[in-house]
Amino acid sequence: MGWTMDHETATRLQTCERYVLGQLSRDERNEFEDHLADCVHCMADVSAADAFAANVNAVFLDRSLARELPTKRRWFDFMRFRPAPALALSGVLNLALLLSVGYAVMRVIPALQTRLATHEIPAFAAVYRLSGNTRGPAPVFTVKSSTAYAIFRFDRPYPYQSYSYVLAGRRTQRAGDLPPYSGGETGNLILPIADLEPGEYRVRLDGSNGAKAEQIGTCILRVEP
Amino acid sequence: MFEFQSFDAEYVRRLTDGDPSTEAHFVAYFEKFLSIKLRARRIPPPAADDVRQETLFRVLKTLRQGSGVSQPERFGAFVNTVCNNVLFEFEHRHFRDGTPDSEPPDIADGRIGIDTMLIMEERKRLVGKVLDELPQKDREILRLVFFEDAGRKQISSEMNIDPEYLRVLLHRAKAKFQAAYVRRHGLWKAQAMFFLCNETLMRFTI
Repeated sequence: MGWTMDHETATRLQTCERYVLGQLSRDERNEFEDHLADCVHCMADVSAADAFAANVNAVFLDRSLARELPTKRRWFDFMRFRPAPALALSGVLNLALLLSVGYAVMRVIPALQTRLATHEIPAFAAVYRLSGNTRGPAPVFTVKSSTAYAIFRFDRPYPYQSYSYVLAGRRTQRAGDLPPYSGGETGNLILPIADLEPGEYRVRLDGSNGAKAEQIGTCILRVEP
Repeated sequence: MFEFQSFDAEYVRRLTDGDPSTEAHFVAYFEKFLSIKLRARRIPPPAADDVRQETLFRVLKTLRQGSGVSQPERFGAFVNTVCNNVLFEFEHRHFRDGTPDSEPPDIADGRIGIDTMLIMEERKRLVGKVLDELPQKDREILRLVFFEDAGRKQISSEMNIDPEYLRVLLHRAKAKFQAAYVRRHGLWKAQAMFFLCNETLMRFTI
């Protein structure tokens, strides 16, 4: 470069920037440093470039760390208010509540009202006899699917401590204990059959005085559409 | 207190006589100069500390017990020469001991990032602002130079730029940084901060 190094030359050639960038040859660098040590202005210039370079490095370091390191999670972070998820959850819950209320108003309540009304309206009811322990086939009775209750008459050979029933079809099976019976030798069992699907169902009434239950009577109930 | 402009016979005389404020200025000024010089040579920080202290010690010894300096107005160049000698001896000693040749100096972050005194939160904010105002390409160039410590050839080929452009870019970015600093602190304090980065020297010059 052939310098006669002084401040004007250094400024004109932007030697301070070259020095900080490491763009000077060994001889140029030595000559510039000789000048730099005595020149207040070049020292200020190099110092500024040096400070700028150091802080550029620090800024990019901070930015790269901010990208790489996720925010540390604290134990109470789950309590932090998050408007978007909270509103979304609230919306979903409200929609589910609305659908439930709508279904109840449109379907469940009218069906219950109809069933309740059925109890309040006087009507005739057929009585079907449960056959005792006979060798022949069980009697078959036919009812409409719209029938709400069926009454089954049975003969009790002797008193039992407890009673139970079974109503079994191909896809539906109901069974359960009955309340104690304190009537005479002939009694009536009322079973709700309003929601039975069309098909054949075996009805059986059992009595028990101990460990083993005995069949009191049975029949086949055929539900027609 | 006086405003320091250049070295002269009076400065050297006061330093030789042990004037405390001149001594403080001498130490602060040349610590700054030597730090820049040693960083430019990629001398590892612990070794740089040794070289700095040995240089300052030898200069003071020469003034007070030796022959003194023949050209007081070139006192800075004299200190630089002493540092070159110390550096030469340092390298020679390590070459003789065989330690640094088998293994290059352990440099943490190249030329920059060692002097934490240069990095302050406010300066980082200003530099960040200057960087954000630059075009994306220029910002990437500065990142490659100062953060990735990439070589000139690599930067030239990756970014398709002339090495001269790098110098101009640094000059402009540095000027913006200085201007922002001056706006924030005023001219004299900003100059003193860049120049000195040292409270003692600030008191000396402002």
